[in-house]
Amino acid sequence: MEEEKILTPELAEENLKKEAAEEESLADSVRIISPGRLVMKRFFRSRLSMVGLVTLIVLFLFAFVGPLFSPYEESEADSKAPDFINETYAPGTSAEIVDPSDVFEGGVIGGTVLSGVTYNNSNGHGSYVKDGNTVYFKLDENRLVVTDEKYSTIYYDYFEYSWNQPSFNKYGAPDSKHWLGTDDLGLDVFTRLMYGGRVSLTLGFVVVILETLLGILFGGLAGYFGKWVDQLIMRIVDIFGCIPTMPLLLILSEMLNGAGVVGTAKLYYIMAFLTLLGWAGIARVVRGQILYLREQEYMIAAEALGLSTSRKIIKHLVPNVMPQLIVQMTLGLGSIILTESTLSYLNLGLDRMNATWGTMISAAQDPLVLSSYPWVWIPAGVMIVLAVLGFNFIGDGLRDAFDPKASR
Amino acid sequence: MENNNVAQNDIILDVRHLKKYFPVAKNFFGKPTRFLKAVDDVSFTVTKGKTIGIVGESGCGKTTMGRCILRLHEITDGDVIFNGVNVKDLSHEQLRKIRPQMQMIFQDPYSSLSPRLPVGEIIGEAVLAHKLVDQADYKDYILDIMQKCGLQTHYYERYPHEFSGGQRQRICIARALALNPKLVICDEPVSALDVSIQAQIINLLEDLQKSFGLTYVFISHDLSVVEHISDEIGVMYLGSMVESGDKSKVYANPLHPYTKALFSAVPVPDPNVKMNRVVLKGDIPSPANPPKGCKFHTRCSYCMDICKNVAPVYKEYEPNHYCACHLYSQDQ
Repeated sequence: MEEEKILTPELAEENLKKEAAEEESLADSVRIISPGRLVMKRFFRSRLSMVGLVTLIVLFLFAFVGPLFSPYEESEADSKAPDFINETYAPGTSAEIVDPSDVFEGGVIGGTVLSGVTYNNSNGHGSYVKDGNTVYFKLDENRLVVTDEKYSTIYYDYFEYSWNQPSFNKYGAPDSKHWLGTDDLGLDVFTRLMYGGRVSLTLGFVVVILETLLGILFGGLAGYFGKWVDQLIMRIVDIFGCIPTMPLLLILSEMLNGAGVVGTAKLYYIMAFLTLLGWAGIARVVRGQILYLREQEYMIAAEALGLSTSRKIIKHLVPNVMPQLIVQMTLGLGSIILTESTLSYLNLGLDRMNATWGTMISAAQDPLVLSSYPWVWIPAGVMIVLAVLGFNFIGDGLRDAFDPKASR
Repeated sequence: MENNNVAQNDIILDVRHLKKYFPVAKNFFGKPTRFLKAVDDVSFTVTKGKTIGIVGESGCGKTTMGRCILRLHEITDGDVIFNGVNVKDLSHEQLRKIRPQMQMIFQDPYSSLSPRLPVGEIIGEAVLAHKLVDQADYKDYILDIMQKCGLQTHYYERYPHEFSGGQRQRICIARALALNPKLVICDEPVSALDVSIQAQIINLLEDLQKSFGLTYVFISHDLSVVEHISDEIGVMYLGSMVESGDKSKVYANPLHPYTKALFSAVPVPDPNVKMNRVVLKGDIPSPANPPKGCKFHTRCSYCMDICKNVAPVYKEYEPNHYCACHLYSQDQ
């Protein structure tokens, strides 16, 4: 049996010294963990948020790096596809025309079917050769009008003409050349999916960042200065809260269509609209958070220390509002992508030629496409679901990481 | 007379008829119609290098008064003269300049430290903002303060969440002292800590007072702590000072019935002593609707008719011992 040590004063002092030394060495070995790193640690430990993060990284690579490896362009058809709606014809398109000169008086329809027509797409002028004579014509609305060689005097008008459609890969099923097939214009669905991702994801990010900046500015002003500033800003926020978002967006997009805004310009307008309609919610969150933080003792301490207003806001308020904001922003990203695709689905978003996931889904409005050519619209739908889920998983993960008490 | 003059020069804080009313009801035009009188006509003075203990039950306006002295709340009426300057009249910028000279230690060491700043920055940011030391000496200065407050220097880059309540309170003390203040308002600095840590912090505050020559306004509801640390004592009830004076005089001879009741509630560490407690009836009345006459008359066991109608005058009954009670005004 071991003899029990008697605690003499010397021994006690020695023990104390030893303890102090141990504590010192322990202190050196412990890493400094900032609140930010703590959050990241908790975030990376959560499986769901990692699924979300990986999904999004894959989506981003797909959208922004993918097109570099694609053999096709965004709006390049497999073989040139004519757009019959806008009467745009590729060079070398052949045509069949019923010669109007064989029309007898009395309206009997007849004539020779001709081919080998020269047709100038830009002004609708064309000519063909019949019996050694050149016959000139022009397309006037839906009529083919035979004219003199200056395309001015009208000899006959007749409307029975049809252009030969060159063969192109319309609604091609998925194969090794087109992994997800082609759509109605013979465009590669897989390639358009990548380009569509660019627009959808960029739009989401830009809108969320703009929204948040506006929200921080106005919510911060309202929360920090209070009184009439708060009253004014919060009543404006209330007004924005009363506006039915979707109908207004529909009206605004219709107005854009009416004003003839197309392409990228339209994208910017849509971003602006979404921002304008979205900042109010963020401002409300920021204001609430600042009202709560303002009553915290460390803010009163900051006042007692005599710190300047700007320092109090930048060093004390903003870092403590950021957690809620980051969560709000990530969750907001998903909903903005959804809104954009809804607009596009209703043909009020971007043009057909600028691929977005929403415009791609809108192809399903045609019942034939819906039932027979699922590869045209299902992939875009899957992308939207993946992106929104990814953002929501990350948002939830961040929320739990920032506030571990709430979940566990 | 000459003696009195010397005393006048030594007075660092002179609170005169301090009032803080919070509006609780407004009429249609936004004009306040009813007030919560959190601090109602409080006057006292503090001598340089001394400690005044302010006691009273929860909700009696101790904290509000402390914050009004620093003008963390706007003052409704009265004067706070700190070192010859009336704090009430300072502009925002002047106030910011004078802030380092009067600091505050808060009650809750958990909510009084910003969770996103490391300890070194918490202690030092105001030092930098007021340019109290050169950039070159800055870190040594902060480390020195930390050591004086019993914090190890390697805590410099740690964050508040890594510390216990006692250590956090030390950080708060270091933050206040880094500005080299003349006056420190300690707003229940030990109430949130457990008893063993309380003693450490109290001893630290006493040591620092000696080495820095600090003046404390020590707000607490713990009478034994106040008795230990204070030179003078003020007893507050419902926003008013009911009794104040030299510690030994107030403890030896409490005049006001409320003070008597308060002191009788202090536990005696001897099981054989039968405590002669004065138990107060009822709750503290709402400061939004205080009783007429003497504010304490609803709970006072010596209540007389005059108490219900006439507010007692706050008077000096023996040298440096003030009280507001009709019991004594009749004698004189």
